[in-house]
Amino acid sequence: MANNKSFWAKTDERKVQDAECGLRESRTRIFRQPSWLRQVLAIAQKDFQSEWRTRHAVVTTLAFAIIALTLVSLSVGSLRSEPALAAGLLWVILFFAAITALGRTFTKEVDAHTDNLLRLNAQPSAVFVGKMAFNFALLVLVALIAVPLFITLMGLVVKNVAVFVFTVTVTLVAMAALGTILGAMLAKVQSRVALLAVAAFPLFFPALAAALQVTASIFGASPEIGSAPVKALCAYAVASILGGLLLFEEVW
Amino acid sequence: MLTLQCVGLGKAFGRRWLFRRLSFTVPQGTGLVILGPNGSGKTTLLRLLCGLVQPTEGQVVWKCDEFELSPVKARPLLGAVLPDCEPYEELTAEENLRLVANLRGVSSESVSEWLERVGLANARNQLVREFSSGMKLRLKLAMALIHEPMALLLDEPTAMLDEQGRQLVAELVAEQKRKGIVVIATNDERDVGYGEQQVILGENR
Repeated sequence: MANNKSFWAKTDERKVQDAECGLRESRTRIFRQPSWLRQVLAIAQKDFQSEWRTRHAVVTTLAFAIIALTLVSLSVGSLRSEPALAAGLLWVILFFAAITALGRTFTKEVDAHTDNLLRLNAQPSAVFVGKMAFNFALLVLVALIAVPLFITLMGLVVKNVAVFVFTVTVTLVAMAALGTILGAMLAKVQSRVALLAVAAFPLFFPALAAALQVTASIFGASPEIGSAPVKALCAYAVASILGGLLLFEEVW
Repeated sequence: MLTLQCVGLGKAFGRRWLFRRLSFTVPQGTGLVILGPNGSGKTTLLRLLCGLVQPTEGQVVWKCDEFELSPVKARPLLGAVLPDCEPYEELTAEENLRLVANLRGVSSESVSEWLERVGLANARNQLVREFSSGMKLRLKLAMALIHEPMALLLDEPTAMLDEQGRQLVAELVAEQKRKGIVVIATNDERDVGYGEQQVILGENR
């Protein structure tokens, strides 16, 4: 009898243990998020692999930048004595090249019906950062080719290479962050490329205005390069990334 | 224990209701088959269940033991084969599966195991754009199942498969029912047997 009792007591104990184990497993499954960094890297890697095989965004963006540069250099010649105009032209070319590149990030996902694969499997913030990293790399590639070419063709002198590189990099970070979130918002809209240019300009404006001021100084428009626009540019880039991280889930 | 509960669910696009006042409960270990003619809202219902669209009325709740989860919060528990959840055509089968494994935090050994399981081991390095529709469906099944979800949502899972493929789906569905829940939207009468429960859409439109 005693043996029988202890058998049932053990069985009940086992049932409770099984239930607790099941509950623990459910909790782990629900609340366990896969590594955020692993997701970011996977999304960026996927975009690089995909771009490497199609080369669509790189070719389109570079073609635009090089054609625009050639036409500008043919029409205005050297701009060594017009540093402010040179800075303006450089950023106009980079702005429209960026629009060409950034517009495709989410559009191609929607067109290929792959956007829901990311929605179901990845955290929105990881999608944002992964896509932003790819966009930034694409813009850097364009800038690496277009900017030295522009400086050479226009016969410009760069007073402070380090500040110039820093300014271009930070502006591209802001553009990549803002372009990523705008791209996600407009991906399902018709005439999205035209809309992206219209919607991007007011958002890019603070960064472009600061970058323009610094670049003009670096090309020789003023004897000193002020630190205020550089600081403003950095603050705007950080705000763009934080804003993107906070808002992306709502627009995705 | 996982349970799917839909209460007074309705979805309208503009003024047109696809379905209204849909209520059902699917307990663990059960298959639910959603039937209905084209345009009756079968795929939309699956999208509602995984939070890709929002209901116009009513709600979907996934109950996992003591937790009540919205479809978006329940995504770690779900795997889905949907028509707008395609693999990347410019990547290989292995790269696609590895992407999902990385996103879901699954070990990379599972990639080879699942390629083997769905019969794509020999096509692992082939670009998805070169795949037939049946091969693509097999890959989508592997992508939906690699993280061993508690609930599997399938849209027309056998539509483009040969007899071997149909057998694979039957095995995977039976296995999944032992682990949790399977929801299948289909037009094919041969798929009706996968579920113990049925929801028929488009009857009162």
